[in-house]
Amino acid sequence: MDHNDSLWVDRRLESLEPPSDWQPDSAVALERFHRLRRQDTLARRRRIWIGVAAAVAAGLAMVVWVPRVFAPGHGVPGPGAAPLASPAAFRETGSPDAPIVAEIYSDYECGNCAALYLDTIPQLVADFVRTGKLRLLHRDLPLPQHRYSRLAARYANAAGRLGDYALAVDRIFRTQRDWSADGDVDASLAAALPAAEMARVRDLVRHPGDLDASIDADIAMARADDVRMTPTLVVVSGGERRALAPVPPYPLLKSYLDDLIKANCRENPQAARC
Amino acid sequence: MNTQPDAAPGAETGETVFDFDQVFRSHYPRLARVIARLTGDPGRAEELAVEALWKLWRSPAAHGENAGGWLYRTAVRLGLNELRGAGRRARHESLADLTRGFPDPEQARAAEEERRQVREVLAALDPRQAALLVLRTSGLTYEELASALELNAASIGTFLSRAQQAFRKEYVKRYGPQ
Repeated sequence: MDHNDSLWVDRRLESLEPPSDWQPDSAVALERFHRLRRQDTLARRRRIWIGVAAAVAAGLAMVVWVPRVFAPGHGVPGPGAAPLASPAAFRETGSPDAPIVAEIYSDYECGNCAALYLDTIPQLVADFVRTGKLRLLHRDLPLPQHRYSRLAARYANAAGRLGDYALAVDRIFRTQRDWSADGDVDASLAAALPAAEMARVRDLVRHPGDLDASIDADIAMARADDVRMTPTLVVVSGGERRALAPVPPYPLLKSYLDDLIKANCRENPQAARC
Repeated sequence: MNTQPDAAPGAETGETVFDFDQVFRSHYPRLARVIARLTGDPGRAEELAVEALWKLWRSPAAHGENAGGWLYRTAVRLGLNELRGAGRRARHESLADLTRGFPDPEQARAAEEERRQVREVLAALDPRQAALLVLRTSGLTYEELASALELNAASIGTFLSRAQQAFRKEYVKRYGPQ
């Protein structure tokens, strides 16, 4: 096509130029968008409640079915096939009765997240989790600028399904500098897990649908919590969610959690751990 | 571990999450204008631009450096879908300001007729070629076009030339050489 032909096409396409006096207003549109978002959040909450109600109903139905489903020999996994733990269970540590829940949003390629996991979390576990005062929950928030963080989250969650979540998280954070250069999370984790288990981890990572669904659910939760950076610690207590970001130094965090527990006990002296 | 609890997001103590509002403000006006080229209806173009941004918000996997490209790709697809809906198109034509810039009604009618023909040709083209032509006329650079259409930047010139040839061929087939 010669230059004149190109001009011929351009001239016709230029006839579609919108009116010059029309200026799309970003502020008005953003307001419309946030309205949509609020409606969507409400609709999603409604769906969650409906889901919970359906789950309760299904649970009640299970009471009837349990004797048949778990009859001897029915559905027993074959040799070497350990049952998969539920994602929610393996990512939680601590007593279900703990008055406070701390949800940590982290990204495996974020240096501050590694520091939090390797330096602060062990102290938090010793002072609060082992004493039954706090339950820890890990949430994945792979940031878009980090190429391999979602992959790392898949590996950690795959290992978690096989019962080695804590080991995998520790290993992935400790070797962050190695795999974040080339994305070879596999090699880092393979050095810590038995070969047979690693093979199963790889199988899960090769078909990441379920693993990604769990990560995406955490990302959606991060939006609902208005999380804007990693790491972020969301403290859930008395029905309220409070986001701490950046996460304060441990002495300050400890003092904050101690005060929160005392306040809870003043309001409800009969509560557990008071 | 952080030592400044009050530090703003994005400070060196933490790492920021995708700033959606910033993306919205920087892309919305241009997205709406790209879509308006296809629909001919500014009001509907504004709605579809919000829809494209809504889809971005609901797609965490698209929240990265290439979010802009993803948005333009989605916006053109929405615009083309709208254009292909014959019923809707008729409605938009009736809503369009046929006399803009043309005091003479005959001139206005001819200009609107040309716009209708150009849109029909775009609707008949391969969607990627139509997108390339519309985005190019909307002022996107070769790099932006490559990002939006997931093409190699070095090949954009070739693709553009092919799209122009296809456009002219289809136009001449429908309306004769003009």
